[in-house]
Order: sequence, then structure tokens, then C-alpha cells
Amino acid sequence: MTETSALLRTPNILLVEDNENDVILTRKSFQKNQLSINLHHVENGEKCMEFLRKQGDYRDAPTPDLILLDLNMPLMDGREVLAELVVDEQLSHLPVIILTTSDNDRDVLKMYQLRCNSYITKPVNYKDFMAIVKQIWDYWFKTVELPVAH
Amino acid sequence: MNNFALYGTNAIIESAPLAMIMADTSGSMVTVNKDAEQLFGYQRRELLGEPVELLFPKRFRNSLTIPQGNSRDKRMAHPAHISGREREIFGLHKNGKEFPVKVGLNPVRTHSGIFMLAGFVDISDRKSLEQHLQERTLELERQTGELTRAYEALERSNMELQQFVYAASHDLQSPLRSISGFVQLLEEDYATSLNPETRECIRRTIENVEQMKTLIRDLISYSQIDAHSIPFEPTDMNQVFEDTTRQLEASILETGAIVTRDTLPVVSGDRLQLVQLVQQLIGNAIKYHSNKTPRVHMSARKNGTAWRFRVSDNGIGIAPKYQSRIFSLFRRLHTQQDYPGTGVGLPICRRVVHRHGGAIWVESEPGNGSTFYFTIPITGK
Repeated sequence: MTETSALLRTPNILLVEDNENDVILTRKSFQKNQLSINLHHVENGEKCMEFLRKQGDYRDAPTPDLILLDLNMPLMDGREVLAELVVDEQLSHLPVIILTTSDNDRDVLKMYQLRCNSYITKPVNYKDFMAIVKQIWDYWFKTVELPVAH
Repeated sequence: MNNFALYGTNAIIESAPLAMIMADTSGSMVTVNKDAEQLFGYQRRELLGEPVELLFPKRFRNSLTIPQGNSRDKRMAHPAHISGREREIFGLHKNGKEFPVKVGLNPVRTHSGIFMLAGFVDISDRKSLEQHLQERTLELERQTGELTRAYEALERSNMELQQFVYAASHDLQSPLRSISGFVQLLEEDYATSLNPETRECIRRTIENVEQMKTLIRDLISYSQIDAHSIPFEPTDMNQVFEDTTRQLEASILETGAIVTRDTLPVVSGDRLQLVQLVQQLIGNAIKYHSNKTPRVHMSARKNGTAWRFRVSDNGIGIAPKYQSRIFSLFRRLHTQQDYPGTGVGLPICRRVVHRHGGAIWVESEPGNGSTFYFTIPITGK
């Protein structure tokens, strides 16, 4: 049985991740947890900004309810994305979860200073990762109120 | 020249234990003693009445005579500008060779007028010593410079290596996470349809991935010991011990180990690294236990300028011929099946101890337990 969110519609999640394996595994963990989402994927920061601003190939893209942002990516990395998001009036309300392999103290501090909504280091064990995906769902789509842009 | 008036002075000059020459105001030598004859290689009679310039190389001769007052008559010959002070110049031997000499000049008043009395000390030996010393100093400076450069190069390559290990370890984690993820997906999705042999393959794959994860984690912490160091602070080793045993609670409960300590001192160190060190040593003491209940005891004792810590156990022990290699990276004495491990634990200990300026070693006999020692220097205060 698939869980539905408090949104009463299928949540849109934007996964900003350059590693294809991680994209598949993330998608699979939502499936395995039986969580119904629309998982959109872009592979670097530049495409992420285009997606959010509905530019280029992303003219019809939905505004995501949640952004899962990797830090280390080619072209424009996650740090730059977040720095740009928070100063953009149109986008600064979007919840951003940093989902990365880096557990570097400076990264963690910097991202919270930029007001990320939480910082998660990807566990090496897949079962642990599955549990985290479920927690993300429970918290963001069953517990909190999400902003609605006017 | 009034020889009579000079008699007393001459007697003193002759008996003086150093080369002395007296000259009149025109620069002519009037008295030369035996040591002066020897020093300059002349007979006395060859010098008396001759200008004092004879005894100095040409380049000094211009500066030898300086006017005293305005009168040209009162020119006084002396090899340096200022009387009453010691000067180091060169003398000229009769054989034409120059030699370094120290000159002391003093005007002497007699009934016959003013004379200039000069005492000479041959400083060839001292000069050559000085030169030798200077050469040695330069050589030492050169060697120090070379050593410093070599040290800096070493430190740079060391840092690069650490960064390499750190970056490589992190990059290795990524594919490993994928492997682990996909295999676990396989296992879950096909658990019921796979035959036991395939399931065993998957189980072993997962097991290997787990082991590699541990290895990478250990490598990262090994590479970070010097890289991310924090300043030393007073660290209570009793607290370090308590933290350690708390972290090892699971294995202590599992093995029924009895882990005890004496009162331990406060040392100056990096607290987290000291916990890492003690945790590794006590962890090993429990892990390599025999069929007896594991007993581990930690104590410390002041040994000269350092604290010497001791972690002893009643475990399986280590044969003497293997005792030196256990501190080397990846050197293990057991198979993964007998005692799983990465071969990084004791190297981490060694690095932590070295960073604290101490030493680490083991005393052990197979079957009679092991005792690990490490020292931490006692700092001022």
C-alpha cells in the first residue's frame, strides 16, 4: 500500500545529484518504502537553477516541494546553488536538504549558515539510507507545513 | 737620543714576554726587543734607526704615520690611527710573508721626549682558528639550510599524501555505497527466488563491502591524525579511560571482560586522539582474548620526564618476532576469519603517540597476555 502525503497530492521532489547510481538508489528507496512521489532529477547546479526558474528545457517543470541537494557536483556545486537560492526572492522559501557524502565540519557549518533546512551525510549502508528516506518523508510530508508561494 | 734616560724603559721592554718596539716621533725605531726580532725575522741592528713602516705591508704604510697636532716634526709613526687601543693588522716578516698581528700602542713620556711604544702579538693561530670556525659556521649554515629545505619538502609530500589518502578514501566510499546498495536491493527483491549458493554469494559480497567500509573509515582517521590536529590541552586520562570503556560497552558486555584502572594522571594532549589511542589498546586487549575471562588493566607511572602508561591483558599474547611489525600499516597476524580487522589500529596508536612526543611498545609472550606501554612527555607547569 502506498503512503500518501499530507499535501493531498503527489509531492514533487527535486534531486540535484551528479552520480547516476545514487539517483537510482534514491528512486528505489522511495519505491521500496512505498512512498509515492514525483522525483525529478538534474545533474548539476546550473540545471537545478534552470529547473527552479523554469528556463530552457524546464519551461513546464513544477515548483518542487523539497530539494535534495548534493554538494559536490561538476559545473555549479551545491554550495553555489544554495547561496544563490537564499538571495532569490522567488526561490528562497523552498526547503533544501543537503544530501551528500561530505561530513566536513566546514561544509556543515557553511550550509547551515546559508540556512539549509537540514544536512544529511549519506550512510554507506543502503538499509540505513532507506530508513533516512522514510524519515524525510515522515517529517516533510506528514509533519511540517510546507510553504505555498503566491 | 738620550740612552741613559731610556735605560729603565729599555730594560722593561727587553724583559717583556711579547714583541715590543719603540719608535721616536719621526717613526724611527729606537728599541727592539728579542721577541720582536723573532716575530719579524730581523736582527736588532737591522732595525734600529729604520722607519717602523719596514715592518708592515705597503698597503698599511699610508696609514702608519699620522700627524700629531700641526707640526710635521711631531709626526709619530704607528701602524694604527688611534693609540692606546689594540688593533689587528698585518705584519711583514723579513722573508716577505705577511702575518696577522695584534698591536697595542701607547705613547711613553721620557726625559728625552715622547716615544711610541708598540707591543705585538702574533695572532696567526687564532686567525686560522677563526677562519676555520667561520668556514665551519658557513658549512653548518649551508647544511642547516639543506636540512630545512629537505624537511619542508618532506612535510609537503607528507601533507600531500595525507590529503591524497583522505580524498581517495572519500572517493572510494561512493562506488562502495552503490555496490552495497545494489546488492542489498538484489537480496531483497529476489530473496525467495535465489538458490542458497547465490544467496551465499550475495552475503559474502555484503560482508566484503562492510569490511572495506571499515578499512576506509580507519584509513580516513589514520590520515587525519596530523592533518586535523588541534592544540594540546590538559587532558584527564581517567576521563579518557571512562569515555573509552563507555564506547567499548558492547564488547565488554559480550565478552564479560573486566576492565580496570589505577588513578591516572592529567597529560597535555589532544583529547579525542587520546581516546582513540586508549580505545584501540583496550579494544585490542578485549578482542584478542584467550579462553580465560578477559582482564584488562590500565595504569601509569612517572618515568623521568614522561608518564609511562601501561595497558596489560591476559589474552593470547604476541610472539616476540612479530612484536615490531604490529605497529606497521596493514600488518596483521591473524586472518579475517579468526580476528577481523584492518591492520590500521595500532599504526593509528603509534601515530597518536608520536604526535604527542612519546613512544609505544609491547611486551608479550604467547599465552601469557600482552602489555602495551606508551609514554607522554610531562610538559612544564
